[in-house]
Amino acid sequence: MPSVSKSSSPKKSQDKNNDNKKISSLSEFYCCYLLRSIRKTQSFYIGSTPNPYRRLRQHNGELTRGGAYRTKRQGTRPWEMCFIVYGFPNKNSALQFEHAWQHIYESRFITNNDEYKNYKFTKSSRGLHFKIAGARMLVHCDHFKIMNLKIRCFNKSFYEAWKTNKYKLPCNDAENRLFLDIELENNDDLDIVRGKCGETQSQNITKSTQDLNPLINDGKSPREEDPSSSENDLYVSDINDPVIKIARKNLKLVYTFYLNYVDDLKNYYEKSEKSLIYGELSCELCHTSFNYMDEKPKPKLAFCYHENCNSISHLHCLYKHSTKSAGKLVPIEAKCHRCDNVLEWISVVKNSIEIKNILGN
Amino acid sequence: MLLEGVQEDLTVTTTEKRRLELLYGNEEEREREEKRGTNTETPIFNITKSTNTEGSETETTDVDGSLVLLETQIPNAMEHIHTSINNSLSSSSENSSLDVPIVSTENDSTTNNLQKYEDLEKKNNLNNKTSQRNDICEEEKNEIENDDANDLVFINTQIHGKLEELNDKCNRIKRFKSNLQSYNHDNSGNTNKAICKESSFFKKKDLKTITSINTMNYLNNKTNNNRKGNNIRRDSKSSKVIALLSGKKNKIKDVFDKILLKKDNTDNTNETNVSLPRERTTYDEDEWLFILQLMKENLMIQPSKEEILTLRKELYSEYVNKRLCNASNDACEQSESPLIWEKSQDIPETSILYELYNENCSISAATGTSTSRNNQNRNNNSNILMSLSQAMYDNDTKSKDEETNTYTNNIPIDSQESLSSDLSVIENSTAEEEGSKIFFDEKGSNLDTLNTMLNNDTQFYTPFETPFRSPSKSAINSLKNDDDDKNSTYNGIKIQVPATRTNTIGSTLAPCDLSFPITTDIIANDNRKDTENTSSTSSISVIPDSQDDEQDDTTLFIQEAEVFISPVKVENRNRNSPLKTNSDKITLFVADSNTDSSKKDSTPPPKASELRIQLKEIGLKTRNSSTSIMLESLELFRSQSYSSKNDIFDEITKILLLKSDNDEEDFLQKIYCFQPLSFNAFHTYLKLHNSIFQFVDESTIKEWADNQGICFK
Repeated sequence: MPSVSKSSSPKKSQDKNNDNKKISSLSEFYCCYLLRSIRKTQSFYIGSTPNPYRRLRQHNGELTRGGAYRTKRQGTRPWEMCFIVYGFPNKNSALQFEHAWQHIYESRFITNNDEYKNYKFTKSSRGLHFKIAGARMLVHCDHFKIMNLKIRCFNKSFYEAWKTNKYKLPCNDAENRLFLDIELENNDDLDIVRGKCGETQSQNITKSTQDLNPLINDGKSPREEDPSSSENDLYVSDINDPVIKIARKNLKLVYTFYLNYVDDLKNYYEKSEKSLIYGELSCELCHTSFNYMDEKPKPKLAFCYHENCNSISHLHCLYKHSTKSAGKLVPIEAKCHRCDNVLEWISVVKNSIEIKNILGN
Repeated sequence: MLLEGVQEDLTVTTTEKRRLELLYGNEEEREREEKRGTNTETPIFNITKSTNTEGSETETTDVDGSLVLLETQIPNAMEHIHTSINNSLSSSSENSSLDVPIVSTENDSTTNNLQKYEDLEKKNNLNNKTSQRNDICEEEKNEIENDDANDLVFINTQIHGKLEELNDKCNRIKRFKSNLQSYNHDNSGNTNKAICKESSFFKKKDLKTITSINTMNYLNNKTNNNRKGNNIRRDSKSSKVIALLSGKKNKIKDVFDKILLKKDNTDNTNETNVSLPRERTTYDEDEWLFILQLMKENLMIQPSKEEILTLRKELYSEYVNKRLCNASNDACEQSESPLIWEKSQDIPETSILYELYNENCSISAATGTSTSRNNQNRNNNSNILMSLSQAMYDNDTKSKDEETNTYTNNIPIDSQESLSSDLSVIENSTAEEEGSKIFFDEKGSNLDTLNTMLNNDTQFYTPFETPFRSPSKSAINSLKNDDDDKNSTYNGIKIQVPATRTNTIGSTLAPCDLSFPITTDIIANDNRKDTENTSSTSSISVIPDSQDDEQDDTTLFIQEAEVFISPVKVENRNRNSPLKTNSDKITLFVADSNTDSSKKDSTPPPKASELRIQLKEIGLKTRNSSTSIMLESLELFRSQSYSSKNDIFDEITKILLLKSDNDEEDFLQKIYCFQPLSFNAFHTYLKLHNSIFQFVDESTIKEWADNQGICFK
């Protein structure tokens, strides 16, 4: 998986039309998230979205378009995103995860799992640790383990809570593949996203946002997306309020993560696309020559995303050469035969599908 | 209850007071009566009068809150009546008196009365000046008193009646309160007791099925027998077994009563003249029809009438053979005549049918041996075992039989009383094609008794001589007896067939598995491979219910008894069937020498519910599936050497890995690309490659998909 860079320096898009074309498939990014009310710390919300940044703003009332009924209750706003689980191959999987997380006490992924039979959660189980335990169990269950999901925390306390593992759930080797990270740097750099502190003019904010997150908003500014949001701008309403500060920081972290993730996907795609320009190519594994642009139907190809490696192979060849777990059809990882680096299967597959969707038609 | 400014201005005239005193007695009398605690018609009201800040009188409810009445309410109410009579309902004094609520038990109704009163006052324009109103009231009252005293009496009676009702209500409320308090006091700290009691009460009222009653009786007998001596216990158990085996308890009971009586008489007076029961309950036409129905339903076979007649013939012919053999060891050899045997082969309507005759008879066998204590005594531990056909046609083989079929008695004799008579008709190996083998061990029966029974020309059943009994409910119910529903069924199917009606002659009946409703586990041998070696036989293993039974009834449940009605060899059957759990068993082999195809049909169809559980465990469809379909799916499942749900999972994975390349729709590629699959298309795909998947439950496939991380559309 192309690692999401921790730096918070989003790139500017040069060609909006191209971006828009690519963005259509980037909506395949899906994540499940856990919100916690900053004011009422025992209020939580589990949801899923292809765009956590936009969704968080909806929850906090900055964007009025979009459903946020549950998080609209009085006294609960603003919400902060505790952590997100991401890396789902498709929307269905993300929705399955969301539903299972919300109903962890009766989820078939848990009840059918012998490992977790001793852990009895009820509908009344509450609290951050319970939510974390639910996510942990789901990430480790057979169904989602193959997807090699990752978890990204946006607050140190949530990270610590995850590490605590209060319910003493079994942590097998899959735990090592979980991507737990916190980004607490640049606490005061919210002006990157929302303008400088103290500048409450909506125009400035709109401009900066429009410049910085073209991918997220499909080239449209948040104002274009939601004209009525200026009146509900939570983040500029009371800057000195510590609660608002936390909310702004959290939003910035979410935004940074999402933007970097999308950039990495875009880089991977661009690299793969460039390698197809050379015309005649050959599969690293079956050594069959092919010209991707001329072939119909176009095959699904696997590209190595590591630097300085332009290995290309048929996806099914890579699949055949990958090692699978006992009784499993889908590998979690594959190995690049040229650079011997490990490739995350789901990233390779998603990139392959992306290329076929864009170039194949 | 607060009454505001309603009755302030109303004055109570002396006549009214007098009238009220007449009605209720004066206050002093009331107080006296209250002190006495008498429950008279006088209303017991705790009436207190107070004046609030606004100067209006208030009424306070008594402690119970059951009834409150303002002291002035009654005269006011009276006044109200009068006004209403005169003004509103002057046309009919009766109606007015009836319609107007004079005294109300509830505060709300009192308020309503007052409100009505106010309304009436408004109507009459009496709310402006109280003096005018009082004058009018007085005038009206006087008019009423003068005009119609009878009406007042009537009204009084109405009031009185109302007050009586209120009294009753008060008492009821008080009683309820006291009961409630006492109940709460008793059940303080455990409120669930009431619920528990209630539930247990309802439980007690549950209808008992015949099965439960039989089970209870059996358990009671068992416990009783444990207290008694071994002999009695054994007798009781054996009687129980026979009763259950026969499917008819009445006739067995008769037999046992007689035999027990006989024993007592023998012990005491050495008298042997005991008349044996002349009447036996036998299966009449309705019962046979019921049996047929059961066979059709449970065995899924539809025996023809001829087959049934043949069965009947063979069953009843057995008794002739038994009787003759049992009467004397030489009886079979000497007294047999073709006429008797021919008669025995007649259909029940024309032949003499015998009912069960051997008391305490238990099917028993030691592996490949049968016991005969009487014969031991008489013939130096040797039996003559012969088949019915031999007895009929093959007299020459008797000597051979004597040589070859000598069985030793391995069963210890526990007591003197429990002498057993052995009746064994075992087919000779030389007459395999037409013979049949029956091993019986009768325990606890005295041969002399039996001989006496037979010598007395006891007719167990004579169709034309003995009147038919009406089909007894007990007999039919015993057929449906589910005493050992759990134990005595294999895959849920249980058939009762009287042991004494087992075929003795090789038949051409469609094979059927028979199980006895005794306290044993009946497990059908599903191991076809083994049974194939012994011709086309199907078997049922009868396994003792518990260890106690095994120990107590070592002679009762002899290790293995085999009834062959086919040319089969007598052999120790130690099949390694996975279904077998106990080596002690009674195996009945009912052979079908004609068709091999019907052998499959002989498998006892298991009970649908148990089959469903079994199928559910292995991931096959259970919904909307008939028993036959479920059986078919189970057979198919086993035929592919699957044992669990994981095998189905492996099969799906194998199909995808091996056969996916050749298919147009590459499901494997979709799977490793994490693309959602269409479930229907995938299911169809699986069905194409393996027919078992038409019986595989969808949830099984979805479970596999969950394990593989596959999403369905």
